[in-house]
Amino acid sequence: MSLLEGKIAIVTGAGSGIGRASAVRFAREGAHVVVADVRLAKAQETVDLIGNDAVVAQVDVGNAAQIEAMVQVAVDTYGGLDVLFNNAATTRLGTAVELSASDWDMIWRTNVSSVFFGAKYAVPVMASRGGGTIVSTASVSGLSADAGQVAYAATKAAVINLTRALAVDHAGQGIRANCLCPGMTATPSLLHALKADDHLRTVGSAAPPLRRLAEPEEMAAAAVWLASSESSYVNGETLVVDGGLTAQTHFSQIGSQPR
Amino acid sequence: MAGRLTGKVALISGSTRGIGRSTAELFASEGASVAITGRTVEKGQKVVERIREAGGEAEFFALDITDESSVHSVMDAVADRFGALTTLINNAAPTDAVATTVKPLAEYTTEEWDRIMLGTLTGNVFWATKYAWPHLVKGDGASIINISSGQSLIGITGFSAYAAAKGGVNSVTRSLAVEGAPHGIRANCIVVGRVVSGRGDSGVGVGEGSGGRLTRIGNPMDVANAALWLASDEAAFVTGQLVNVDGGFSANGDAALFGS
Repeated sequence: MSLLEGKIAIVTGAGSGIGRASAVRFAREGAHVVVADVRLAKAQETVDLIGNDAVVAQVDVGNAAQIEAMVQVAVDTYGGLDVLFNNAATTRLGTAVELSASDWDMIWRTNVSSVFFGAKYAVPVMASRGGGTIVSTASVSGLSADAGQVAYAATKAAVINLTRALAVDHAGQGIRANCLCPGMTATPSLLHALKADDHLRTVGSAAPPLRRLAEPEEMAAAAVWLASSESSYVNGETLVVDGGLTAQTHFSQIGSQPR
Repeated sequence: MAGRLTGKVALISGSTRGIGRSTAELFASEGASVAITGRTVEKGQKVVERIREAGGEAEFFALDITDESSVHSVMDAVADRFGALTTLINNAAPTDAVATTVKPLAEYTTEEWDRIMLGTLTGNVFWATKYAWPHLVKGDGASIINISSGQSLIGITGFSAYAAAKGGVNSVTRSLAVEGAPHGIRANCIVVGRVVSGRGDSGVGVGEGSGGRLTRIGNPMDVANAALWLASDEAAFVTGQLVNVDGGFSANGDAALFGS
């Protein structure tokens, strides 16, 4: 099966985790991939994993000019753009009182403005080719809030409704916009956080009804589906891939043993 | 090349036409053995023939989703015929009842209300799942996919019973996800927007002519493709979810779209 045969795709945050798994999977499905990450060496590793049909782009996604240049890499290298996967994101821990204003701005630019910039520069290119798809990584943290993650929770919720806005605005140009809400996924950054936090490690894999963390490849599978023509009537949608985490309430764990 | 559903045995209710038929044909082409079910034997046999001609494996089972004993015996018969039942697509709908009972809630008789609840929720999801369950727990990569409607998310005059029943379908999907997880059973729901299928048997009353902001009306393959992905092991971490297949209709806050 080649769900993205001949498609030209950009994946941001493709130097590790969900982005890397997605870039690799996109390429395996026949896409030409622009591997974008602010960490050049990491992005190059992903390109090396893919082999052919991938090119690196060093991008701070919170910078409009760099996003414009990233889209241009796809146009210059492969002749256009069909799929934009806005996946790069960052976070800093802290409540509203604790988090600095500059960190708030930085997180907002990286997680939300990036999607806006992406649409701003990708939509005209996609529209000129008759359409395309935008996929963005939100989070289950955009559906409900986790303690001490005020900026992450707010920005991920923003990605969800920004996705709907893009879907409504650009459907007439043949462009679909959807977002993906991963649950806890075994990415390098999460595994690093789990290492430092005993409680998180204990509850993290026990929380979803499926009683495990997700693998980055499972998020890549969802991103591929949203990017492919198989989801051609799916638009403005929030696809939650969380092992059932948000299908339950925490009350359901009272009196029942984790399995 | 192995199909994406190789090794799966899927029962698709209401699969003699429309979304159910498209889903059955797609599933068979991806390697699943499919049980075609419905009330009309001739139509069902035709679907089976088409699938077999294309090289797939299918069998027809006459099923009245509003008859508990029929549901019970068909679930067992399918598992007996194919040696397993791994995938349950609850797609049947009381389309005639819905189409002929368009009126305000206060004017419904209890019989009319019950008929729609039975065909949409009690028979289609409760009984089907109840009697498939003993087989699903033994299945590898088992999952349930409930076919719901955009009517479960919005109020439209004249369709209160259907909206209520589909709201129940959405909600019970989450219960089944939580109950099924320890048994390796996933449960998800496809919320279908305006889809033209044969007699317009989905998205009844949502209105036709405008495809919403995606500028087209959906077709059965749009739903079948979503069901394929959700039923496949690619979606192994997806459970308890409602997936809207509606071209962006539910993402749009523009209430003026209705009636236009």
